[in-house]
Amino acid sequence: MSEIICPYCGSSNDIDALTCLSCKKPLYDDVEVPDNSPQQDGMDWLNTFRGFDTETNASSSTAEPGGESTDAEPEIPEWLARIRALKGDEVPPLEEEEPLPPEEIPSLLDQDADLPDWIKEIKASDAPQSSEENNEDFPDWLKDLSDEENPTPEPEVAVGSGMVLPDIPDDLSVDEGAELNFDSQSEGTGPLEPVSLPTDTGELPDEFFHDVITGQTQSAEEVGQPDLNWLIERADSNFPQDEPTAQPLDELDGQSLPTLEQPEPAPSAAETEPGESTELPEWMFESGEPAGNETVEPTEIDFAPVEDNLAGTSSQDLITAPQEAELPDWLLEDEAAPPAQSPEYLPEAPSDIETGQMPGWLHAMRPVEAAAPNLVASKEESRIEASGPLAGYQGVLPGQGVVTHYSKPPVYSARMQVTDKQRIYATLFETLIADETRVGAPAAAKTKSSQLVMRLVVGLVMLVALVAILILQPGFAAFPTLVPPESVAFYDSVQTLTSAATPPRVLVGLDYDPSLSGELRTISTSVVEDWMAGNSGLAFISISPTGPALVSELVNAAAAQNPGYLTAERVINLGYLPGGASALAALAINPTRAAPTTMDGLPAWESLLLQGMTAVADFDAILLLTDNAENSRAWVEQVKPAAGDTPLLVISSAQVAPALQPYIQSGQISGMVSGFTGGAAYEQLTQSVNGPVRRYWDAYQGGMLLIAALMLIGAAAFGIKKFVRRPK
Amino acid sequence: MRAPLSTTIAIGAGTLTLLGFFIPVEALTSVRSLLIEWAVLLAGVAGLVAIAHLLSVHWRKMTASRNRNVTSAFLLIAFGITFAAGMVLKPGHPTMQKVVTHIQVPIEASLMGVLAISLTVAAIRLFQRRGGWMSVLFAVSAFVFLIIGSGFLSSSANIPVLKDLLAAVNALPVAGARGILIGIALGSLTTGLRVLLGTDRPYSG
Repeated sequence: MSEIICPYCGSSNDIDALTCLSCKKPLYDDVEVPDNSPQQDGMDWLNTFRGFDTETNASSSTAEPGGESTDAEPEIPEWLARIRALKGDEVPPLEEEEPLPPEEIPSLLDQDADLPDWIKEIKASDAPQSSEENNEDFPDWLKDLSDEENPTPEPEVAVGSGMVLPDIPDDLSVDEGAELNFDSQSEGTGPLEPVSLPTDTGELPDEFFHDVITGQTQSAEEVGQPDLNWLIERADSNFPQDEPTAQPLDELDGQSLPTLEQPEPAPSAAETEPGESTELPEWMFESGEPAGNETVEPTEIDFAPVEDNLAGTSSQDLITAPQEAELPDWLLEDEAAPPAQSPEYLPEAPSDIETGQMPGWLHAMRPVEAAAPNLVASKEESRIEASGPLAGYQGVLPGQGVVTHYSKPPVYSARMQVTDKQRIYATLFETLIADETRVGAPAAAKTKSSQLVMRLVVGLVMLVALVAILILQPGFAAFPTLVPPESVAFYDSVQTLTSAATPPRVLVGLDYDPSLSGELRTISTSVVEDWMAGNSGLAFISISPTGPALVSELVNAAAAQNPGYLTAERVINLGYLPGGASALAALAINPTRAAPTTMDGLPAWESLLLQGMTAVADFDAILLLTDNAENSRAWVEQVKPAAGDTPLLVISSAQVAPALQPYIQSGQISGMVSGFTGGAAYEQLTQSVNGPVRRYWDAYQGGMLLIAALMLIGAAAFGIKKFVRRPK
Repeated sequence: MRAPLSTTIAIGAGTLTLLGFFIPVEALTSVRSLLIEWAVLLAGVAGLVAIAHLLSVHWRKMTASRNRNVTSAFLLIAFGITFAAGMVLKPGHPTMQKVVTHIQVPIEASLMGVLAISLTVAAIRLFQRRGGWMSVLFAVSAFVFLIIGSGFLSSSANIPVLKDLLAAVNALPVAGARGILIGIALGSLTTGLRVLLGTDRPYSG
């Protein structure tokens, strides 16, 4: 049953109530509440049709302007009056709904010939009360018809469909209704549009929807539903068009009954399309709360209660005991029989319509609510909206809790959940890292000063010792008696070439830096002296930028020991050859293109010394002066293959000697003199008494032994000091 | 492929040079010689570019608004004087060669002397700073080779075992040097193959 919530106290009231049962306040602001209207009596309209309670209903109906048609007012039930009042404010249907053309009225009024007595009584009572204008619109035969006393059977309203309409006359029995000529009515008014089903389908039996599905109730015409246009016409004739309260059926037809005046009724939630109803399965009608149970918003018109009232189920509950006693038998029978008994009327339906059966697959697709209707009434549907524009409505989808209830987003902690064991491990790891990254304590000023003192002391000791040895020349260092074999090979090669009949022409590669010139120039001087002694031609070339300048220094030092050597003729400086190993490769391929000119810009290969030479192999020997292992390797790898049998002799510093030893053992280097030891060995082999190496040999050996001694002393001192401090 | 033109040129030049080294054909040898001469010219130009870059760096350091380096001015001034003298006197002039023999050689030789003293001090404080067997091994090896390198033992040829002992000790650095050379050779070979196969493209930027 539909309910309405009192806006003042919030109590639930019946949908038909105009005032609240609890606070006695009007439920609708725009509806005047009659003082002496019977409580919850929705059957006064029915009694009006019977002729009962006319006086009471006349006083309870809303006041009509002009006071015309006073007998028609009792016919208006309360719920309808309220709807008229509401609709009068919002819906302007009267001007839009054109009355039936006069041509159709006779066809409608022809039915009055079969009207029952009670309708005729109404007509008789209405005729003098209606305005003359209305009467004038009626044709003569209609005017005469009002005087006729022949009872005409009132068309029964959708008996076969099980739908109970409100304007069923009291004295109209089922048998009489069965005798009505529906065909003539339908022919006169055209095919009747399917009557909308009552929205309160929850009380309807399944068989009803079964019939709907099978198409037996697809239209009022098929089921023999009588046309209700006579009631519409009656209402139109009795009440002015501009009075909404005088046209209840127009409104009903316009809203709930998609019939004559509105070919295209606007769909609403309270309406049920007959066409759709015939196609809908049974479970759709069984599920959900009946539409009539919805509460009505005071400012809007909800036709669901109206249809509930139209349905006999609603009015049945409102019939009081005295009224029930006055009802005719057929109505009581109809009221006593629930809509579930509507199949009793099925034999009255046309026999050519077969009873349809719901297919099995459609039965299987029914939702759970169809099988268990009790579960349909959920909490949400029984919930009453408490706020918002839908306040008071029942069964509204819950949106307030979702939309209006805001909450702060959850705040997740970024703090890591660490167990005690993990914390212990992290602490240990942090300690280890701290120990590793901890810088040792800065040395004290005392330590710095001691280091500085030690450096000064060591430096002064070495400087003083070496200077003293160089000055004093004590001669304590003996020349080595054990000569390395490469030095012997070097010596043999030089002696072989310089002792030849023709002076040899030697390509000298000077490839050392000024930083090591003290060592290499000293070693090389004695060798160059020997070459000069043999009147050898020397072609110097360098892959170091400072090499050409060092050439002159070396040549001048060696030439000083050989005054008869013609340096200008026998020595050519080919200058600097950029490109490292590539330059050596170019030199090995074609020396005339790699180094075409001398340092002075003269054509080198046209000189007397180099005339006729086009390749590296044309030289008698290649002498390399180097302090760089990489450049030495480049000479061996790039130049030696192009030199062929030309011996490659190397004078190197002591630091490069180990890197060149493999090439000596492989034969790529014919002989080598390395370091002061090699120079001393070479001078030992040449029996040079005043050679350059000899002059520095004491200082060299003394300095080496001094350094070794200092290392030994330092290691012993600091080792013992550390050993002594350790027990503490 | 990234920088296909550069890769093609590099692989082609490397292949021709390699073929010219192994195949004594006049055409390949000429191409190889030409390519190598181009490399020498490019190396010379690279030297000029390096000089220009060095001057620009010191110019910026000298003219910087913050942390100005005044010593860069000495370099620039010295470069200007040397360059001007070289352009006037030519590189083969004895005066120009004295720039190297009388300035550069003493300075670098002095640095070598300072290095010798510093290394000596470091060797003395070796056990003060760090102990352990590695320090002991380093100290022993340095001490032995200092004695051998000084030629002190070479003059004692009458000792019977000394000759064999010196030969064995001198073989140690030779063995290490040979291993280093083998490694260098393998590395050079791999690098050359990678460049020839296009796997390594240092020229593509």
